[in-house]
Amino acid sequence: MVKVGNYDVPEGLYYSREHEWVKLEGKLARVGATDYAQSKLGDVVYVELPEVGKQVKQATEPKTKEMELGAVESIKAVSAVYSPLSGAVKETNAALQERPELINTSPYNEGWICVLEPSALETELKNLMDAKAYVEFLKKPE
Amino acid sequence: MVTELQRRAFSMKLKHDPTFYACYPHPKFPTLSITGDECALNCKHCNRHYLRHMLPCLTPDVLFTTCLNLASNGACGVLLSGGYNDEGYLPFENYLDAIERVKRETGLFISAHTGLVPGWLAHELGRAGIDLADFDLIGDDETIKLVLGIDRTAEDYRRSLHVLKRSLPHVAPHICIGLHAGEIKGERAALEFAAEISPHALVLLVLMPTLGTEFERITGPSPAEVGELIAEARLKFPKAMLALGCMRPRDAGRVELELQALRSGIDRMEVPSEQTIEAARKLGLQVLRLDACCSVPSELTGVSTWSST
Repeated sequence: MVKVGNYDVPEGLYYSREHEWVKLEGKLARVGATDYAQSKLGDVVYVELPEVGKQVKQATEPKTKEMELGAVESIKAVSAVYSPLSGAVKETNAALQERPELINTSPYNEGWICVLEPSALETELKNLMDAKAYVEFLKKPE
Repeated sequence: MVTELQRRAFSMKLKHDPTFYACYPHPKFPTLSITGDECALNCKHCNRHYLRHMLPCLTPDVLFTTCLNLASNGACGVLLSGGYNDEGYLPFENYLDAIERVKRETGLFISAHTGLVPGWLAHELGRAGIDLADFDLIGDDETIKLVLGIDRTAEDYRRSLHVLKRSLPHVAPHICIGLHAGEIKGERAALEFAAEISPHALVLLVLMPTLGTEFERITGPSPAEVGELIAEARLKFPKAMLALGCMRPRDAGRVELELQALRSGIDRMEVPSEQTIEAARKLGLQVLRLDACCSVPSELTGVSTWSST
């Protein structure tokens, strides 16, 4: 585990510029919000999960609805969750509906958001960062 | 179900101002804590939980540089908050010069959670440049004892409200519906107190049962009870900006709660659901976006028309 300021950045995961993480599990990819993202959001009070089967596209600029995996709402903000990979939603974390605060308390474990079946994994992984690159990304001025 | 009281309240709202403001304080109006996650009270509904995600500014210098950075990154204002001392107010004593400098050098709109500040401190906050006090108003002695555990009375809250009104440009009373462990108790007395100062804005909150607090398992007031109280407030304050604040449950009953508030004539809501925004349009309201806390006068911040895609 690497730390940047107060933020944890576990090794072995991939990271997007939108501060989502990806954990590869065989042919599937588990997705969540990073420690940095949850910290910036504040107290998460509601999570809008994607429907299982939804097709999403990897987030690029400009952002579109097809890239959204749902939304995370905190006391004073609502932020879209942008998909770090293209593919189909296979599973969502139902526990977040009862306990949205898991995104704050356990961003890399119990607070995962969904599992994707990627459609272009090999190509799109190149657009993501490893832990070392994400650490450098976080160190850049906001 | 919409009651006759709500019908009258909504009709009054529609005639006075057919606008509904959806308020989004993040990222242009962040909350800063001058005490970090420290609080002498550990109230039963919060237990310092909501301090953890505020931007910590533990010294006057850090407060100044944080505000300078926020202003240069596009913030339009800040909410100065934090934990209370054992007298029930935010310990601003050492921050007065820093606040004055922030105001002078950044022009940010400055709101503050004051608590029961003594008269001299309220006056100094006004002199330093605080624009608005977000004042948690409690109208029942037993609630103060039960929830905050301090030796203060509702009359102390009433007095502080008047002191702040005399000292600052704006005071927005905040009344938490169901604060007495979910029961409605001193809310109507608090509305009476608020009416004495003719506030520009009145913010209604709803008790959020929060994990890790003594109130985590309590049942809060029902959406219908909240709707009724908001309708009463609407009729009592026909010209004040009436807001449903950020501190309210976002559980399964969230949309119903927001719709009750809407049908009762609420003017503003922090982070409303998509369904609520749609319902506001169907009720004939124009939806505008406000990038600030819901208590802030809209003419002092950027307001834009809603532009969801």
